[in-house]
Amino acid sequence: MKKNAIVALVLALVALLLVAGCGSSSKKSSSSTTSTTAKTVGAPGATVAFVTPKDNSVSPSSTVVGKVTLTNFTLAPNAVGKAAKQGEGHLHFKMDEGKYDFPKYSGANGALAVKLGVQGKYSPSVTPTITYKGLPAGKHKLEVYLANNDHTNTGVESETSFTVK
Amino acid sequence: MARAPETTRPAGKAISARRLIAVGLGVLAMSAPSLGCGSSSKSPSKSGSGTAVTIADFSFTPNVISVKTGATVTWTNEGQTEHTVKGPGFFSPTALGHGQKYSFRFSKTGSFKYLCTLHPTLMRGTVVVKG
Repeated sequence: MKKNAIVALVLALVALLLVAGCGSSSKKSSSSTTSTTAKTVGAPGATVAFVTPKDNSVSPSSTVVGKVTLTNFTLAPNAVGKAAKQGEGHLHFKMDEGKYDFPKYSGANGALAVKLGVQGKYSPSVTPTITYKGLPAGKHKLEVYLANNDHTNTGVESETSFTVK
Repeated sequence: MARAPETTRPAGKAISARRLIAVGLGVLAMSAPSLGCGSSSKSPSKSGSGTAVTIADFSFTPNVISVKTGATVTWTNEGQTEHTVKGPGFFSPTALGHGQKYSFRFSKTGSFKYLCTLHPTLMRGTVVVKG
């Protein structure tokens, strides 16, 4: 009887140690998974919408101000480039698929794009406004999406089309 | 005062119990690695001597690489997120998407620290160039 109790105790100890050991392994693994799947960090409930330029509007000037409103999303200038955190980040504006996302057109935002190495792809912004200058006459499409701190797309985005006369 | 049951047992049975414990612990020691627990102790290589660096989300592997003067190091983005490579005198011309590569030839000896400009606090590496 006593022998059986000892056997049970030893087996329980073995099982406990194995579970504990594997538990710590699993913890490391999940931590790693979190850092490698930052794109799963999103902005549930967040929205972004253009105030200007209005969709299908006509601009008499080659300078166009893009302004957006945000809900349930906090712009976090000091966290740009850091790990993604749900509900905060910054904006990525894209004019004509990045064609005008250079300092010549998007100014300081374009300069930041150069600094980050994303010129020609998008112009990062930590404010809800961006100004594009020197746009040629014709139709343009301005897109914006809410970016996580690590620049991954939250999936929340908006676009507007306008014409420069 | 009553004596503990173990001391009243025949010597043979007490030894048997100790053997059981020893066997149990032995099984534990031998089986843990094979059950996958050992895999967590395997850490990815932190340094290397080849000329290839893998970019993942969000790391450079190896993050310290040693090469000879004149060697060309090639970074390949195997992650799903865009990354850049920027160090003293070199900068990938644009953010690298999945599968894209960037190469730079190191013609001088020294230790060259670099980073991903998009994730500077998360991704850093060093190229050590020896003569």
